[in-house]
This record gives sequence, C-alpha cells and structure tokens, in this order.
Amino acid sequence: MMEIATHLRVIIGILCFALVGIIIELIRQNRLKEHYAIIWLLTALIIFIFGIWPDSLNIISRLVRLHHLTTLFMVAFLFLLAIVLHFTLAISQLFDRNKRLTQEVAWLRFELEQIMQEEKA
Amino acid sequence: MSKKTLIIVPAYNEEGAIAGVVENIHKHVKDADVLVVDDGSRDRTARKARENGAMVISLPYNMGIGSAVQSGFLFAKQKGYHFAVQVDGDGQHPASEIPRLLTALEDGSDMAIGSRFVHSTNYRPPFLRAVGIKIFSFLVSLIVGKWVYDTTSGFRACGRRAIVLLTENYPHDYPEVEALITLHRNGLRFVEVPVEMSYRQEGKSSISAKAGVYYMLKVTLAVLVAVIKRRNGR
Repeated sequence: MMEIATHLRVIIGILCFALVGIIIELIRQNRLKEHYAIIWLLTALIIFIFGIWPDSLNIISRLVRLHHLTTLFMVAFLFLLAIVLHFTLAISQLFDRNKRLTQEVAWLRFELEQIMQEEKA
Repeated sequence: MSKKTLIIVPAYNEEGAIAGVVENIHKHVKDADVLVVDDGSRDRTARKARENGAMVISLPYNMGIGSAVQSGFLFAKQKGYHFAVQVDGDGQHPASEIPRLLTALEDGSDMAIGSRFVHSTNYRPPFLRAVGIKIFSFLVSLIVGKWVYDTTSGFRACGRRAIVLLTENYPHDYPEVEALITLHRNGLRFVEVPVEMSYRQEGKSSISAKAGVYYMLKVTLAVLVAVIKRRNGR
C-alpha cells in the first residue's frame, strides 16, 4: 500500500479540475479544437486516477518491476511522447493541406488575371 | 506532334537568367506553352518571364523546388496537357534537348530523364557530390531493378500518367530521387536520355555544402520510405 498525504491529494484534485476548467474554457472561446482537447482531457483524467487511486501506480510498478517513483516518471514520459507524436501527425497533415492550398491559390490567381485581361481587351 | 506540351520552369530569384531560358525554350520547342513557376522570388523574375511570353504562376512564399514543380503538374493536370517538361530557371538545362525527351515519351515511356551520365559528358561534379550521385544511382538501381545513372537530374519530361501521379505525390524539397521510386512503385516506366548540360549561368545550386548532409539523409530516408509506402489509391 502506498500512502499519499491528504493535502497532496487535494492539490492533485485541484490541479485536475483547473486543467479541465481551462480546457473547457479554451474550447468555449474557440481557441482549442475539440479534436485536440480530447488528449488533454485524457491527461487530466489520468492525473485524477493517480490522485484518488495511488495504488494503480503500485500495480504498474509491480508489473514493470520498477520503483514507484520511476514508474511515475516513465508513465509521464510515455504520455508526453504520445502527445508529441500526435502533434507531429497534426503538423504533417497541416503541412500537406497548406501546400495544396497555396498551390491552388496561386493557380486561381493566374486564372483570375487571365480573365481580367480578357475583359480589358 | 499535336499533343499539348507544357514546359514548367521553376524559378527563384532568377531575374538574370529567366529571360534567356524562356527565349531558348521558345526557340527550340515551337508548339509548347511555357509556364514559369515563380517560387516566391523577391526580384523581377515574374515580370521578366511575362515580358518574354511565358505564363507565370507566382507562389506567395518560397515553397521549395518540389512544391513549385508540383504547382506546374497541378496546372498541367487541370488544363489537360499531355506532356510536362521541367526545365530549371537558372539556364543549366539545354532547351535544345527538350524534343528528344518528348520523343522518348512518344515512344511510350511515362517519364524521360535528361541524364548527364549515360554516356560520359562534359559534366564533372565536385567530388562529394559525385559520391552522393553514385550512392543514389546504386540505391535506386537496386530498387528499380535496372541501371539508373542520373537519379538527381531535374531535367525531366512527364507523360499524362506521371503528371497525374506526381500531382498527388511529390516531396516539397529534393524531389528527384524519390519521384523515381514513386513512379516505379506505381508501375510507371521511365527512361534516361543522355543530354549535355551546361554549367549554371546565374545563381547557385539549390544544395549548399552544409545542406549536403541533410540532402543525403533526407533523400536516403525518403527512398526507403517510398519503397514501403502504400500505392496511390490503395
């Protein structure tokens, strides 16, 4: 059994609610896409689970046979890695779409200039 | 030769050379349209090209040679051109050889590469570049299953099938080597046509010494990825 001091649990709880609050506010203000909010809400949920049920960390620790503090860092690291991968995927997709958009705009501008010249003539 | 041909000229800050390039193309290829893709130039490249009778597409910012050429492919695809030839805006690709590339397409190839190394020509690359060129030649030959001597030449002519394919799938920088694998993987055929290239008249190679390492790594990785990439439409 791993004991976490009550005040620590309260802090973790507040942290989670603050995170969820911030995410919802960002979505409400149209600054964060729901699609990307999911991963952040998931983050809050996982922190919350560790907060109210610290033994879950112990179970993982026993599974991978590491000290529970090391396990905590490992879990956090893997999670951050997943988020970064997620971002890289998003950027790659944005890059491709941005490229095609730029090419189409340049082409349409050419067409527009042609039409305007024909009208002048 | 009644098929519609588009000459794509990617140009970035080539106000000194572009007029001559366009003029040369008009001189040697009578019934082709010339499209200069101004890749976000800050000088008068676009104006000089227009003054010499080329169509000009201006990209709003510098997108890289691959994206610039792809803009040309997109144009060719939409406008129904049968052939698209890439001729660099710096004047190192000889316009006089364009008809020979087109003949190779007429003979049934999907792409014709203006190759500097099929026969020994006067082109002598610097040592490190020569090594890089050899490595890519070996790598591509291994994958394609026939000898490809000049994998990095940007002087190329594409038939309709290649135009459509490359409009969808063309890397934004250093595209030449990877495009060959893309073609091969999609069952398209390409041939090399020996050409004599002149040294660049204006400007510098798009590949500086510092970028050379990045070039090697990026293209090698791209080639290996292209081999395992899923085919278009699957």
